[in-house]
Amino acid sequence: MQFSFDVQGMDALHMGFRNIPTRTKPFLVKAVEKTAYDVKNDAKTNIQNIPQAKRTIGRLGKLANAARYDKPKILGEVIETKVEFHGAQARLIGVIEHGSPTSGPKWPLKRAGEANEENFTEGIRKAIADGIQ
Amino acid sequence: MASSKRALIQNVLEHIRGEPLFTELVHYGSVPNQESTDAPLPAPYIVVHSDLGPDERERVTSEVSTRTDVSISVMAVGVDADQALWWADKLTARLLDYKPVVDGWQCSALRHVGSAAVQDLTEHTPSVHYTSDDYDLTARRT
Repeated sequence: MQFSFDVQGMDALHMGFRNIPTRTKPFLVKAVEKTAYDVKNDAKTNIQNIPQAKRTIGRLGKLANAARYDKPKILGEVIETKVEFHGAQARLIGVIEHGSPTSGPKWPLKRAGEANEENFTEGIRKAIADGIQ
Repeated sequence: MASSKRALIQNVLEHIRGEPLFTELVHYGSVPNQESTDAPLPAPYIVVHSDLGPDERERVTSEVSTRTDVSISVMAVGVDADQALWWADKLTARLLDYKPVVDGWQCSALRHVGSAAVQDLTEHTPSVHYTSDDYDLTARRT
């Protein structure tokens, strides 16, 4: 599971990432990292809040604690980061996120991403403002 | 008075069922067992899940909610991984860029926002394989 934020896709910027001043880039990377951190934490909380039978609570707890995010990297026109799950219960995330024939999707990661969209946009605005000072 | 948000989901379900290939295979929310034996339904079949989306105000000054973003998950279940993928592929072709027309709403085209790897469900006898695709639908009240 990964979220990548495509700088080109943001209407507010109206420019390719290569055209952004070099001194602004670290601020943008920081803004992306902040969002990745928040998405990771929200995904963890969302998983912990899923109502489950007692037998699966322990597994979900381990899964929630296995949430990690990658430090953002600049790859051509995008800044890429990932929110992932590691450890023995990592396989569970697919079932919880997308559901199975016997249980519906819970979308903990999707919801976490959606919940942070506004803050992400605001973070990018601030990063650009900080970068041109 | 705007039509209900359920009408948005209903429209998408009808669109899927409108393709004869899918008509008898689509279930919403859960999958019924076989009536005669109470055994799990044999694959292939399709399960659709959705929420009703959060109500949002698009302008700070607005006093009413004007928009909703509905999440829809479409799961293709097959006897093996290949069959699950075949059905998922057909479903994607059916749904991609589909733009619902619903009274009281102005809808965007469906956006394909996620896809899950094929997994097996061994609790079922015989076991089945499944994969799912997530779509977002943005609808504004007219």
